[in-house]
Amino acid sequence: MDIYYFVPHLVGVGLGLISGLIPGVGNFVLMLLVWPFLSVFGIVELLIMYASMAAISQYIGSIPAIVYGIPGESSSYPAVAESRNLTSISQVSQAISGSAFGSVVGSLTVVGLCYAFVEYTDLIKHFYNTKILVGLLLLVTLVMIVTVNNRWWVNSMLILSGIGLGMIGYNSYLNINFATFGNTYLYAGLPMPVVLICLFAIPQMLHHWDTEITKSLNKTYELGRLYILNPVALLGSTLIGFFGGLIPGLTTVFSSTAAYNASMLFTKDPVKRIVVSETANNAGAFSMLLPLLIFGVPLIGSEAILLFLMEQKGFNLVHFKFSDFLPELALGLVVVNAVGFMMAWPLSKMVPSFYRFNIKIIISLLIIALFFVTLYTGYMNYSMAYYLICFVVLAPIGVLLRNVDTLPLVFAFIIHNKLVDGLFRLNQLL
Amino acid sequence: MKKLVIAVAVALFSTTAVAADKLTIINSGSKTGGFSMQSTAYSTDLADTYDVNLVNPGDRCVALGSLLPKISGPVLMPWASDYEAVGRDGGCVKFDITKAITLRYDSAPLFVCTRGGDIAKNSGRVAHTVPVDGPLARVVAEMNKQFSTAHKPVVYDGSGDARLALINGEVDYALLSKKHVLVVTAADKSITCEQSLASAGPNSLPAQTGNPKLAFGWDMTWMALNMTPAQADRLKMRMMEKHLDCSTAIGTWTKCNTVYNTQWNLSTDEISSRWEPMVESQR
Repeated sequence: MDIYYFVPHLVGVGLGLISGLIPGVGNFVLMLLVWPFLSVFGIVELLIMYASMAAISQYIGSIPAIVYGIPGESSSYPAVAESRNLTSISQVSQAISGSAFGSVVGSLTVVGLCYAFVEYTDLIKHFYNTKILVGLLLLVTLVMIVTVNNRWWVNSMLILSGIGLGMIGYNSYLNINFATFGNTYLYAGLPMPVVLICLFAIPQMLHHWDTEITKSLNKTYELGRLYILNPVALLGSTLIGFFGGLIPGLTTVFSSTAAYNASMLFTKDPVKRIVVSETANNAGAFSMLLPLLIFGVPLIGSEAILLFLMEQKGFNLVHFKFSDFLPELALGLVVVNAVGFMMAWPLSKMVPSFYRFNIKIIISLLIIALFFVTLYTGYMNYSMAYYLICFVVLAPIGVLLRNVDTLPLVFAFIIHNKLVDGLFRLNQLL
Repeated sequence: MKKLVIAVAVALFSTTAVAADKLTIINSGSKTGGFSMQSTAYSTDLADTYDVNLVNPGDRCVALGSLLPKISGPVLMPWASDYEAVGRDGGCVKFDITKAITLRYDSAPLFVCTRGGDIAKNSGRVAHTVPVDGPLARVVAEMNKQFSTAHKPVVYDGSGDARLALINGEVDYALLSKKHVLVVTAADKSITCEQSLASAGPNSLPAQTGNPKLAFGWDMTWMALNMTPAQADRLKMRMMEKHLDCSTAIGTWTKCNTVYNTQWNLSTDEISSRWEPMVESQR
């Protein structure tokens, strides 16, 4: 591998660290922030930088999710939800090392499979079928109703609430306004970072509010033996993660949630559930690049920016083939996975232990930090007052929901567009 | 000390003397669409002349409804005929383009991409972009009337999704702009996009059939706001210069000015005569 690829690796790792650690600051926001500096990279460097960022954010996102119950990265929500069920140092340690190892396996398996079947990668076009996409979304939603740790009717209500909240705004597909009341901000819908912070992160953290510091050993961990999940579970979650990563707009979020839901059918062990979801999101972090490189179709906002930057450097589908990039990309991902593994397991101990402090102080500080993240994302979107109002309205609801697992609500909120539009399109196709 | 004061004064004076004009580029489109990418490209390309502030809220309701009224300095903003059509039909915002100085006017006719069938003869599923009850659905209905076919419109949330649907065979035809035609034909050699919905031209369906209701495209303007005519002219010159250079960000995005039919010197009357019929046809 060219020595000059060191710099894009380094930039990607740095951005991935920020993206993985800070809730609400995703790859899209970071790409926009560093846009002027990225123009110095060539096509392969840009790809390596992006792949590194996407992979590292997945690795790092699992640490605050498991240890602190904070969804640093949006695909870590299953790990956050399940972290409350980790009851011993051993389990937390296993979840961290197992996730790191599973992520390596998931990521490198997908890279290896792409390498082995590079001539057939354009077959993924058959996956972009409305029936398959809608079927998958419905399946995961239905599985969630029976598997998430609430009564089934509570899960159903949460899903309906998530869809209802998501519907607020102007729906360009159906050309209708829903609950906008003529307000220009409401046309854009409720801001996703605020909904995720208020209705998921805050209830999850407040769930630990009354935990005595002496009893909170479940949140400390040690670097013992490497926990390795059984090969069948690893392969299964890798496959789910691979296909989940191909879903437009959802990618790794769908990967981890679908794998997590599938694991609920087979095991009650929180460690296994976390490892499965974290394995899947790393598999998805690579597969989400395939439509971009094979068909020129970006699945998420940050990929759209990547495509544009690559086009500025001369990328087009007439002259470039996916197989041209694969060797450098594959080698680059081997390096990144080694770095990610080190950061997510051995080096994770370097994260300062919050447990010397009172758990109430920690949670209060985190909620204050999330409040400022809300203001920052609002500022970045030129809607700080609107974000603030949404926070003030939604945060008390989050407090009331502190004893409820709100994963179905936020999942439904995230997928509502794909589901509603997909169902309508399915009706057109049938 | 005296030397220091003089040095500071000289530095301040020279900074003021060469300070670039401020320019706010406000994107009225989504964060991932063409307007966003072009706004970002301009913000890069024009930075050598202007002190550029890119405002990219990713939503036209916020951009025009909330942010634009607060900006008093020079602004460069794109606007599209379909946005205006939705706004006039009760959407959150509309914009009277005659109140601004139009610097650039683009027309992007749609092309009929096919996996081999002839849209005038072989009925099939036709992919088009949102909304479900929009003008493109009416164009498909008009095709059925014109050719006695039974095409079914299938709506996708963006041209990227429509492209994929054509590639994987979920639909038989897709109505796409030139930018997407270049990509889809490169990705799948069996796809061709010969016929267009432009109102004129050798492969124009409306011209071949004599049915103007089959014509469809998007008209887009890039407008100067809060500027004197002289300021607007200067900005237009800089923009044209950047477009002529294919290695610039905007030159790359427009694929060396091949993806749109771009006009730089239309009169106010010419703009109105193109814009108004296009907007009304899309309502």
